[in-house]
Amino acid sequence: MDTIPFLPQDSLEQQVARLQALLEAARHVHSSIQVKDVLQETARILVRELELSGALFLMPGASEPVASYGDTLAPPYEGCGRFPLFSGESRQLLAELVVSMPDSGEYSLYEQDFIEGLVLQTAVALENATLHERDLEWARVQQDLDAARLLQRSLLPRAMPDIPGFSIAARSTTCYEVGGDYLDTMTLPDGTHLMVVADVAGKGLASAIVATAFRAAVRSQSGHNLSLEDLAARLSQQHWSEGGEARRRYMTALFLRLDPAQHEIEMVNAGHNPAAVSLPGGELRMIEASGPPLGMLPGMTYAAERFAFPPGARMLLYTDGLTEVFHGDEEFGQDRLVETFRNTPCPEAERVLDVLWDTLGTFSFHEPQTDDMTALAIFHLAPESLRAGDQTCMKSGSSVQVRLPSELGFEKVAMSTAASMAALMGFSEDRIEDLKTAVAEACINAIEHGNQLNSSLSVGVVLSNNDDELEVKVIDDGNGVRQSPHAPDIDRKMHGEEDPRGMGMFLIQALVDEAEWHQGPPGKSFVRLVIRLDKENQECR
Amino acid sequence: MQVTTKVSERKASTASGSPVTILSFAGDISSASKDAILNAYHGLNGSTSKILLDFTGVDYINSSGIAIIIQMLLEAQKTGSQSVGIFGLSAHFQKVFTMVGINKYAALHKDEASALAA
Repeated sequence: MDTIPFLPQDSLEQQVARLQALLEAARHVHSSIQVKDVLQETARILVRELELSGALFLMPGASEPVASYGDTLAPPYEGCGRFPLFSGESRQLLAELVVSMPDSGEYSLYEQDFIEGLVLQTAVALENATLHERDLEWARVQQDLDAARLLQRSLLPRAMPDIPGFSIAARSTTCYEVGGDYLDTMTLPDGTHLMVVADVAGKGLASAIVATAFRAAVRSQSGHNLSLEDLAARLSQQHWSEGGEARRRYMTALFLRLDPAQHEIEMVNAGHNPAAVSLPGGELRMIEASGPPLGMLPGMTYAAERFAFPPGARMLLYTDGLTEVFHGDEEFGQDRLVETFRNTPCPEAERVLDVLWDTLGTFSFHEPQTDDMTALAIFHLAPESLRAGDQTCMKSGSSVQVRLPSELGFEKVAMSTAASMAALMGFSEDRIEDLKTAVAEACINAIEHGNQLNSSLSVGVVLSNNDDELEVKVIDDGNGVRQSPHAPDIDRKMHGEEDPRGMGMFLIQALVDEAEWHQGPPGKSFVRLVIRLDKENQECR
Repeated sequence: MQVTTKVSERKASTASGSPVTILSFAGDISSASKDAILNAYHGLNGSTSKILLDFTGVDYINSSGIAIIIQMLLEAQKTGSQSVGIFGLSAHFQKVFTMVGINKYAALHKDEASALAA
């Protein structure tokens, strides 16, 4: 009922007075945002305005009245009026008003209308107050989750072991604030390294609690000089003994012991996705599970696999969040993951994880991740990777722009920029030298010929990497370069029949894989150079 | 903004005992090197018959710099009595000098010892 019916026998003044009383009561009721205060105020108004003996509110799930005023009304509230309060849209029962009857044994029409009108207003105020309380509760939960997330992040290894000749990287991203993936690495007293990747069934807070408890168990057991088989069996039994709740949150795990001195790895796979080992000869070895997940069944035993991990070998441990990435109905899957891992040429584990995460993001069109994702990559560096030292890989599509004053000498700035970029992309030193000379010559041409040595002009250099090629555009502010490249004739030069200069375009064309000159209006003339990674080992043409 | 070229002159002798004048370059070899290189060459005693150009201290050579070397080789050839050899180039610049054909008029050696032994 949204309006108060006016009774024909009432005078206009009476009707106005009642309406005002109800509006005033509604104003009071809406003045609070606390559930208890709203109900308390309504009970007070009802008792005082209608001169009743008592009123109270019951709420679903609460055994005692949540608010009352006047005389205490006792269950089962015989002889009382009862009015339900429903939420606006869902018609869900929010509370029930129990109010005493007047001495006459029934409410007058005015009393009935007043109560019903006020109940409607109170329902709105109560819904607002409930939402407000829920907001506060949610904020508290969110704060808790934030703290838990920070704590869980802080329990991840701060750094991967720094082992000469190895490149090791790990990454863990959760789909909610906290996750059920566990990643750890410990250096053992004998100089070997214990690494663990595990995935607790389910995700979210409950799984995170189990993962954190598991971490503590692994860390305490790792000090007991156990074999990997015994470590897995003991952790499984320990988790199973925690009872039914814990057993529902069983976990799959990979235990790995790396012996860098012996170039050897020992592994136990407890119900986890197979770990991928790519060996230098091209052999791919998958380390499959030797037993069920930890904590699922009592008395489980596991078998360890031991294998050589020579220079050039690389290994990926991952949780199923990396394979169960979807594009529509199509799953990324283990094969694609392993292939991407094996075929990324970069020798640096961290960069290869970048590539994996980028590839998965692209595959799923950057949809939010639906599971926790954790991976550990171990590279035993091949001698050539070691020689490359701090060599890194660069993501495709990166671009660098440099603007040079049109003055001879500044070509060296473009030259070093191009060299740095080519080094990041993994070009060999020989090819970088070729590129340096080609870029320098292109800039000199732009300064001398395109810009006619006009120092008020400038030269733009844009370097872009696309997959396995580096493109360099050198743009002048003048009219470009008109000649076309021709091979210098040293004999004619030595006989004074040809200008000793004029070798720049020839050198550019000879040193890079592609070179083309475009003439356009000022600011639009450029030379475009391309060098490709697959030419890296070739001699100059 | 171009780096100046420093040229220093010293005497040596070949394995067979004939006198050699070594012009050592340091800095960049570019269009700005013209005076330094040609003045050093012109300052050599007219009787100098064997000249070695030492590029060990050179990091950067561009085509304008190469043109100056060619001009010097042209002048040396005109004397009819001077021979010029080159050493101390990086593998890359040995390749570049070969590409433009300088090796036809000046022998390229890896280092000073092999240049003097030749």
